[in-house]
Amino acid sequence: MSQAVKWIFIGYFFVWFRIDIAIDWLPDPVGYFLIYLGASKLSTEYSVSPKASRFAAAGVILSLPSVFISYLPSGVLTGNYYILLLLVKLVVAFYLFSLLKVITAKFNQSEWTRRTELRSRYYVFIHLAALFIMTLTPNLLSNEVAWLTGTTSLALLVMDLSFLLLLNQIRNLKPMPTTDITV
Amino acid sequence: MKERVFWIFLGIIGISWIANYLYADAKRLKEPVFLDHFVEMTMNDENYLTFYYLTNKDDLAQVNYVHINKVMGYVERDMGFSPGVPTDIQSFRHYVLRKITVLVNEAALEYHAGDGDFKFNEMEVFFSDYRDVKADIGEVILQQPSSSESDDPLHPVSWGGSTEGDSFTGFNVYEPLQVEAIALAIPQLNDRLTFKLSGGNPARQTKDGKGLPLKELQFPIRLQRGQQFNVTTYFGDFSDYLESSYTVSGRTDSGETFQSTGTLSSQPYLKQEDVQEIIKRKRRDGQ
Repeated sequence: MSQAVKWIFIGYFFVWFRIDIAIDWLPDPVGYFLIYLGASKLSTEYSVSPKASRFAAAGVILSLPSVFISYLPSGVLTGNYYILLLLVKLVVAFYLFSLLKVITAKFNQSEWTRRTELRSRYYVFIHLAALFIMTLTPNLLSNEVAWLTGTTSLALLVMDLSFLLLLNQIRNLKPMPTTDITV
Repeated sequence: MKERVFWIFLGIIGISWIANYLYADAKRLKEPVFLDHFVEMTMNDENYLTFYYLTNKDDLAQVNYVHINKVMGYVERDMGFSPGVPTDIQSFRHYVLRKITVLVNEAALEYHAGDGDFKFNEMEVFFSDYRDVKADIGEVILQQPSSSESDDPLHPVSWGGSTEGDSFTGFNVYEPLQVEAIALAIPQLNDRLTFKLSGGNPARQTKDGKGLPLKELQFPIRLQRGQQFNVTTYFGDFSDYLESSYTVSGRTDSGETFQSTGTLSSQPYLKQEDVQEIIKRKRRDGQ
């Protein structure tokens, strides 16, 4: 558990954070690969649906161009690619959340299941809203775009941090023993 | 959130994505659209002409040079905050308004136009992405310098203007005279400008504090030595660029004719509706 969640944590950090010096030095494909490793380990270990790892594998391929994003011309195509990247991140995160929910439920840690559910609701809702706004940008005025992207990127930042925090907290969770009434 | 609900939301986003992309794509201009310019100026060694155009908001191309009836016009590079990126004067939902300053040398004009006035309505614009656009730009006249006007009995001494499209010229009167006519250098503007006159007799010609159409002005206007004659012009259409003049002509009491010049200018300031209207009109013109 601990090791696999750590991979997911580092992987998500790679996906989320960019250090663009000519190329992205925290490349997204590497991030998705680490998420893939962590998620597939968890789903085999606890026999949960492998959807999270499958979408992470798709993310490895889809995010390949993002490494060289500073070389892409800023235009319609790049704008659409940013939408695609966020979409992939959301789908992967959605299935990671449900993976964590199932595992915490198996651990009998109902408090953590509840917290994971709550965070995932905020996370998914904010990301859906941000994506919807991003699809509108070609038809918005430049000042509308400026303040909308300002607020959404702030909200997304908070969501990313809260997801990383959750991963970190959940990392060392142990199965709670079911109380034996026969004693 | 249930998996199915999640995918339904993603589906909605997908539809919005495609719809917005297609709508924006349908609104794209195939080529930049130039505004109408009404410019009349006296030829100098170096003539700077200003042109405004509308283009797609993600257009990164700059104008390299222009051809005006075979005469080459050099485009002054904008050395603003970020050289190499065109500066937007105004931005709209799908388009931006940009401005270029074109330098035309007198030598080149003389070679092609001879000694006459140089007049054009079209120019060919060459962009940095290898597009060239035949642009309909209104009416531009470069005039040969006229003979000296040094001893005008009616002499322009003050000028002004505002961003509201009004321009002001004040004339000093050096001997008793009467103004008999005002004529615009560009006749197309006759119905589009109004004039407010003050000084002399009749003392004021105005309507509701604004101007009167040219043909409703009353002449002659008697002026005494030492009086000031003020002309304010109003141009209500902010879709066009204006840099022109009008002549004030008449006769002094000693019987000599005179002619003096007042200037007018107005810069475009577009609203979203104006943008739609200009694009619609210019597209129809082109067909």
